[in-house]
Amino acid sequence: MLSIQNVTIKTRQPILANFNFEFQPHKVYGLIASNGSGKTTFFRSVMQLIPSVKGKYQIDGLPIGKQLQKIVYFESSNWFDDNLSGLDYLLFIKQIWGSSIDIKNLIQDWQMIDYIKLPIKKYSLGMKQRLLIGLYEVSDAKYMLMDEITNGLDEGNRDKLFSKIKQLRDNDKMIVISSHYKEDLESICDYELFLENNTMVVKNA
Amino acid sequence: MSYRSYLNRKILKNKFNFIPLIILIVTVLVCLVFNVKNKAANSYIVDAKDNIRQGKQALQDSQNDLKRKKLTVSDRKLDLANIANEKKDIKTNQTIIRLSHQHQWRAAYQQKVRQIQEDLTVAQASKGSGSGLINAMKRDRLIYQDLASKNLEKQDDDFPTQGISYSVWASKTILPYLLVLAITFVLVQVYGDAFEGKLNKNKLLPISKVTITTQNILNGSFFAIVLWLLTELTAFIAGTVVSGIGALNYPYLSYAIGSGKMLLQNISKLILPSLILQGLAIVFIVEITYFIVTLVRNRLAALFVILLLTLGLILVTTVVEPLQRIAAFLPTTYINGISIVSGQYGHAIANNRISFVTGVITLLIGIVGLYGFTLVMNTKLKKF
Repeated sequence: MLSIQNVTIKTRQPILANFNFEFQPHKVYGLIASNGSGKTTFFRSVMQLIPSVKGKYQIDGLPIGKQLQKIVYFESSNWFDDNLSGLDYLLFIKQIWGSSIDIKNLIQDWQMIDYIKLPIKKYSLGMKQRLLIGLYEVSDAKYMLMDEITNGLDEGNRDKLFSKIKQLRDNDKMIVISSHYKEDLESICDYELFLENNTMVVKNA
Repeated sequence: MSYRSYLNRKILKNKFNFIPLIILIVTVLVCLVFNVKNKAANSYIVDAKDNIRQGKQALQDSQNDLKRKKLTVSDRKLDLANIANEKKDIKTNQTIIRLSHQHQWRAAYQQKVRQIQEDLTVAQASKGSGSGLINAMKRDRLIYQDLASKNLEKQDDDFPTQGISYSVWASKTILPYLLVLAITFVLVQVYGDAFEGKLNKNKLLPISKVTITTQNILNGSFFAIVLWLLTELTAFIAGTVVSGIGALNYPYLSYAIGSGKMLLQNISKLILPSLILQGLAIVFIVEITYFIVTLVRNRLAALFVILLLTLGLILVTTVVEPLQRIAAFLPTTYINGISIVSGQYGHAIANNRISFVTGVITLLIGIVGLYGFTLVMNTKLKKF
């Protein structure tokens, strides 16, 4: 369980105040908010990339920093080193997270065979996004934070992603996926989290 | 793929990282070409030929002088003495050239030593001769005596071309500046890639911060040492192809640590300690690069600060007196390994504490201290 206890996040403006919540495995959470309301800041705070004003984040009773093997967050495809190949990243994430996922199948599944060995600088946005999804999958982490991961995906790949997320949930994973649009996430979420005016409202989907 | 392999790929798959290596190799080759050209213009054989030409001119002047009818007895005596001296000098120089062409170095240099000794006696007797000139003569005498005893061909000390001497020259003249520039340029890119704005992406990896810090420093050091060795090897091979390998017992001008007395040491004796110092100094520079990039988190600003702390310090230490007094305690001093172990650096800045031993101690303290400091910063401070 990923627990958030009494967390307050503030950057230039307040993002979240005194928020408490427990994210459970085997569930998909949709984080819905408009541009600039703090979705990415929330994820960064959970991952300790930026400090929160107060409160704490724990996975299974331990601080997140000590449980990084169980959680994965890769903010954006802009974070890739353009000189490396997709395969380099898949191999790296697989080993570092100690996963047993078969990379060959994953590459085939996401139709990356043609480009996976090329430098990422040669990829289109859609290709990068498919690689990004692949990284989450290959990590096999129990908790996954996905920040606007549907960006740049065509309809076919978006449907595939949603069906993959359902599969992951069925394999006891917890997924938080953010989007600007409620309609985007309705079909796959168990819970919807609305971030607005320093508060997070949680609703059953 | 391990974190180490991941870092290696980040270095090797960026084509821009090969530019410094290419620049280093091209510089080494271009400098060799210059040295070959300068060698032809500066060798002692060229000096001997010049001396012959000047001697013949002086001889003719003296002979013309003698033909004048109105000469006092003392002037006549002086002219005759000059003619005898000029003839002797010309003969000596001709002998030196002939023996050198026959590769009879010992005999040629014995002649040269005699010639220098005579000039030195005259210079020491003359009140107008400065200590610089006399010291230069003593230095030349020492070198030719050593070469004569070993029967070795003389290299131009300022522009060597043979494999061993040229690689040592490159490590003294080119590498302390260009290698430092190359290392910092590449490693600032590699280390800086871990940061997205001010965010440290490495914090997301399920690897301990100690492992991340250690692997980054080890990989950077490995890359920098390979870059250094490749450049040295290029200098050695290019010099060997152009002028032969040279001799390991070739004399290298040195100064005794402490007394500052001028002496000659076999180059072989200096190579290993100078490599040790230079290698440790490179590791220190890699560490300081990692430390500053982690602290500043902005590539351009980090590059500026690092160059100021490394290259700036290397250059400024030779000219700013307060820094010269503490140079023995600055790790950057020891990047010029050959100058340190030969005592030339300490002699040049009048600091007799600079030696191989102080270098090893200073660098080890610097490396271990900075590593510890970086670890504390990365593990204990929340921001990092």
